[in-house]
Amino acid sequence: MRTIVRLENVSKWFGEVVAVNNLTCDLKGGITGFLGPNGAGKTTTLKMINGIIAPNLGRVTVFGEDPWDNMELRKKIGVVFEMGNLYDWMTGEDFVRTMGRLSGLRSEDLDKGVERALKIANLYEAKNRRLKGYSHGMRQKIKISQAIVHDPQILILDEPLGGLDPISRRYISDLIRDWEKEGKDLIMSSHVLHEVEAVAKKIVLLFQGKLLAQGSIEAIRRLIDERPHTIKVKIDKPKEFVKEILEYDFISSVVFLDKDSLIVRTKNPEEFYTVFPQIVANKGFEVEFMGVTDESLEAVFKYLTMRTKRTSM
Amino acid sequence: METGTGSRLKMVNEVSYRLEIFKMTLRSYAKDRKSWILEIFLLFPLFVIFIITRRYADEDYRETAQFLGEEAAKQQALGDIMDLTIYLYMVILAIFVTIVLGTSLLGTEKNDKTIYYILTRPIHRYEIPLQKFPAYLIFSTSLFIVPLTLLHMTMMSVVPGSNAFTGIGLVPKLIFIALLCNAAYGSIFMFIGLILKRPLLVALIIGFAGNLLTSLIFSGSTQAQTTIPYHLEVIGKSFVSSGQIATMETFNTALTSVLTLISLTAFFVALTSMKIQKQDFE
Repeated sequence: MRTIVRLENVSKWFGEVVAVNNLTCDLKGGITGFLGPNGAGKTTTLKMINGIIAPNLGRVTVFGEDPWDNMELRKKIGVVFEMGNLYDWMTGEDFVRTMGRLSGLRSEDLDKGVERALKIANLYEAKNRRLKGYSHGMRQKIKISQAIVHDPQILILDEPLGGLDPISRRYISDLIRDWEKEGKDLIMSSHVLHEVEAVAKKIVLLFQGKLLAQGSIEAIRRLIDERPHTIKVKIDKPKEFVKEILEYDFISSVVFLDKDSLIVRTKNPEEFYTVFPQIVANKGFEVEFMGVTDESLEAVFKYLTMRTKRTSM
Repeated sequence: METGTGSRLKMVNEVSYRLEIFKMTLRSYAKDRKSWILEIFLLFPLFVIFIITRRYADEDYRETAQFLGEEAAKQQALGDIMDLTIYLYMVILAIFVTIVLGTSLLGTEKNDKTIYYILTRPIHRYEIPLQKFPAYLIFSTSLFIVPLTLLHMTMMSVVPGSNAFTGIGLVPKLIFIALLCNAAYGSIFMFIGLILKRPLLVALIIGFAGNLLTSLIFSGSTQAQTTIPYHLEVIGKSFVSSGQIATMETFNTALTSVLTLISLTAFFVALTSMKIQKQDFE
């Protein structure tokens, strides 16, 4: 399979903080997920891949070319960053159209591109609304629209599912899978294994700026599943939700953080992620946030780091 | 083979898509509430000027007209308009306007991280300030058109033998001064907005303590020539024959001052382009 991205001994630091440390890996076509807790160097690596920042050491190539200030390469890449605002004064269509124009699209191609991108993100009906009034899920989807308006070959998504409600989460996951079906490539980052696993077959496991593992995720998944997971949920009726979720024996405990937020501990996250949307849909709960807390994943990464050290000794 | 029309069309496309940032910047200013607050801020002194003119200046102008003729009174009023333009609008109010609009030109995009949307498009980084700055210049200068026109009309309407439109030819000159002032300060503040996370304090120091800062290094005519207000005064002086400004001591021609301000602007715009070309956006 062809290599789309190559990172060779890449290091990047900001002041005294080393964000990426001597990272070497090849990313092949299809969907690849960068997995790691916050501060693992995922976003920095993605930024180096699309030329927003340059490595201090090493070399990054995309389709064999240096991405820094590379005009032709940018036409082939679409990017969505987790952080960052939108041009809130624009309408949805205005935003996607402007980004299409900035990508060099004109007249008919631009009209078609904008319509396609808005329809794919299911925002065509909301295209005339100001971005300021968009919900979190809609904002994430419009970011995807602007990234695909010029029909790029590679789509780079930084934490695309972070903090989304289950419906938007599923929608974007489907969108990612459809992207691959079109024969295109996608690189995404996440700190939730299940998010990556749901769409990607290959992963790059990062921790503290270093590469821990690359390739199949099955073995790592098993390790992670052996450990209890903690998931934060912010919901409109927390007490009713707890009553429902405690019916299942894979739930170890539930701790209230405040009046509408709680932490659920489970030994089987896969089952939790299957049951959770069903409960929400059946009972009509409104979920403001659902996501794994960093601590649990970080513990696994620490464990893996130690294991790597032991085997290399 | 590509036809002549096809290649021309491609060239037009190539140029027009690169103007997108220019258009986007103009639209963002127009849609931003802050811009219109600045316009009100520039209009506000006119109320005070209106009252003062009717209470004190008209008497002055009547006396001048009586003893020296209506032409002398007209020239006196034009000198006063230039004084107010330079010493109130340019040296004080324009600094606030240029700080707000100039530092946000790249600073807000950088802090909000909306600059990523531009950085990931097929546009060279150095082109970003080259497109944004003209948009800033057009918008910031347009904010001065109404206040300076009204200033002129308010003052001239009380001069004996004149009306609000007498000597209206001065207004484009006032706007030209505003353009140079906005260009010089704006280019510096755009650069500061790019390199600093919180540029406001540094911008205020440069804007209001520029004279003091340059006096630490230079003295005499050299010190004067290293400040933006001095060059604005020289240019303003060349347009009128009366008023406080007409009596100031100058060390170079108005053309030299115009060229100095243009060079200063070009230097900072180029510096910003060079900086952004190499800058990491964390």
